[in-house]
Amino acid sequence: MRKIIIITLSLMLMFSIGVYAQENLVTSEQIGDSEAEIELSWAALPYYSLSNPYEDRENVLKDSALRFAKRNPNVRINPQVLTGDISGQMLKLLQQESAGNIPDVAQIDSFYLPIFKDKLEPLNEFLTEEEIDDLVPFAKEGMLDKDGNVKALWFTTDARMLYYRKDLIDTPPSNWDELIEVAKEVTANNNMEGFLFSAGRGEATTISNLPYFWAQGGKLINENGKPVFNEGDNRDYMINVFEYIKRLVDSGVTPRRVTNITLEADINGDVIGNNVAMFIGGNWQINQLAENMGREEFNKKWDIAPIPHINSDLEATAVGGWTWGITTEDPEKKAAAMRFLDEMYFGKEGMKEWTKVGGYLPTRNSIYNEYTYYSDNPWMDKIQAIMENGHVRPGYPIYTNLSTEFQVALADVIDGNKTPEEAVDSMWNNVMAEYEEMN
Amino acid sequence: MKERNFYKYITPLLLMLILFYLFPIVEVFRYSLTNIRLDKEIYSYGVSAYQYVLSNPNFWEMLKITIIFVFSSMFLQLFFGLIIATLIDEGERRNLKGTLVVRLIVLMAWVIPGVIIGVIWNLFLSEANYGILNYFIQLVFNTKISFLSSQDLALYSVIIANVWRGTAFSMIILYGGLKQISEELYEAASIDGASTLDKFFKITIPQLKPVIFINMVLITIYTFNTFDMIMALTGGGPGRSTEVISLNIYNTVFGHLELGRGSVLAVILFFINLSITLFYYNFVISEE
Repeated sequence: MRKIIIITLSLMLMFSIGVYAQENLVTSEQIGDSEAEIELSWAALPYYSLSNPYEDRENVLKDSALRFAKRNPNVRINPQVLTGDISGQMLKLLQQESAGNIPDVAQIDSFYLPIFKDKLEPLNEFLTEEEIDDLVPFAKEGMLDKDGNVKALWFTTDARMLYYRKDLIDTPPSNWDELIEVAKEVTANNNMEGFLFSAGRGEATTISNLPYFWAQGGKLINENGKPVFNEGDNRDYMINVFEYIKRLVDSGVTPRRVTNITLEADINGDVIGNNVAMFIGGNWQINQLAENMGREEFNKKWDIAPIPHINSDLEATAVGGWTWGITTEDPEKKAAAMRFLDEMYFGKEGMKEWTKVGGYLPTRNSIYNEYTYYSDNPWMDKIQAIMENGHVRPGYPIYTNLSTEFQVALADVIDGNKTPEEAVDSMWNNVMAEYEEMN
Repeated sequence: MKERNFYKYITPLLLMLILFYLFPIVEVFRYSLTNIRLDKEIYSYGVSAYQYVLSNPNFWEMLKITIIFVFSSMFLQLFFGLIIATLIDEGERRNLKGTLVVRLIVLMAWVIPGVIIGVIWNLFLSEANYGILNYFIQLVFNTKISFLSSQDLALYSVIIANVWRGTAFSMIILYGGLKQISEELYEAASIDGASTLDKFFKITIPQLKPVIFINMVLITIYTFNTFDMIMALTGGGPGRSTEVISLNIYNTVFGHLELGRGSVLAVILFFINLSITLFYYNFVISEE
């Protein structure tokens, strides 16, 4: 009897040590064995890392990391956590690259990807044609450099759309005139603003309002990186956008205070407080608002539709998202990094689990169709349809300056300081002065 | 022997100062003489960054906004800081209860991070239905005021928020100064028949001059460097109406990747702060 007890206790102790050893394969400071011969540094933003403020995300990532560690006993990953200041962190990565100590695996905002492409390793050998074709078009295009090399793994995306109160509006507007009319009707009978969107100083303003320009066929910057938004038809398209915004404010359906809305999430307070009938927002706000309002209440009141444009037959939205870049040239480390990213974020299973827990949109079309979380989700069909007309922001150096001038011009129009034509002219003069200085 | 010991003790400090203070400043000056961008490894030396910045009309407009912001904030913080410090000091002389509580309440504004202050004042001044001040304005006057979305009013809203934030610091400095003034001066003035206002302008203010000088310098430098609160409150908008120089430096370097031009702005800010410090010294201290 004594022997049985000793053996049982020993087995339990060995099992506990085994479990402890396995669980300690993954901590926020290290993934894998300390003695592993291949060592990789991995930099991610807090919400994408093992030091995650959200427990459910951390658990999903830890599970994926543990699977990776067991399958790759000769690999050790050293996590680095970037701060939430996206532009600051992207610049820090640039500086690290100049200093020769950029992490082997780095999270890169799709907006900044064009700047990083020549600093990242090609990954064609790790992806099949089928996998690449499975990606949404803008992700596929964005991942490639001009020679057709895959330089990054675009693993999440986002899109902007019209949110509308379906309990107050039977049919969502499909063009600008309809939107103004619908907004007037709703605000006449309800104590709320008709239509809100970002028009403050921030990239959300540019990304929320540029779809109006793109839908008309407008081009901001040509293939050589030169601004063309004031040339030919592009000028008319841009003036149309500013005239529309001015109409929204002058008609009273949009308050002037939109010039103080710098992020899409700034509108959440108005949504929760029943202060708005329609707004332009990002897909991630579905989860945010549902969590704050209660999912039932949110689903009862709100729905989404494509952004209305000048004509009903036009469609366009702005898309963004996050990518992973691999910087190590060592073939073994590169392959290990690819296996790591596949397990955690980019492979079908990894992407499915990660985007589900994070409330992000996957970039693999097959995930939308094959997994019930997406195929049964009433929002996903609509979001997928909206994303088909997704436009990414042009990745040229002049774009950041163009974006700032667009935000300033929009505020001038809303405030009545400039007419739409004057605003476009002012925007053009400032952008071209910058462009000429750059070149 | 003493000289050798002195160098032995001062050298590590000197090295730290050179490495962590002087070297970065020299680097900023160096970058300002280049066309360096954060996304390009190659750059050249020259004055093109200075030429671009100084010939850009937006720069002068931004400088004007910054000067209005800084000097309005500085004057109001000094003014209210002095009033509050004087009242607290007088309250303590008369053994009134609650002076400590008043000091603590005022100080609370100072310890709140700038970003949170921006958020708080955004809620307070917003024209949305949840905007606190506009709620009462609408109750009384049936209208709303565009505190943050009007290019004419936004700067004043930012100044008010900054004054609210900085008055506590000014109050503490001046309160410390008031405590240093000898009671005998006031007693002698009372004997001579001086009124309260006479004592304030002929004893308190002259005695506080060195403290006022330090206060002015510190408020000016801090306010020139303020951008966290403005970032959270208006983001520099609407348009460019609240984009002060420190926020412009951030946008230039981190938004437009122009390290050279951002450095030019930083150098200009450095010389502005230096000039103002020297001016205050000549105007306030040297007159003594």
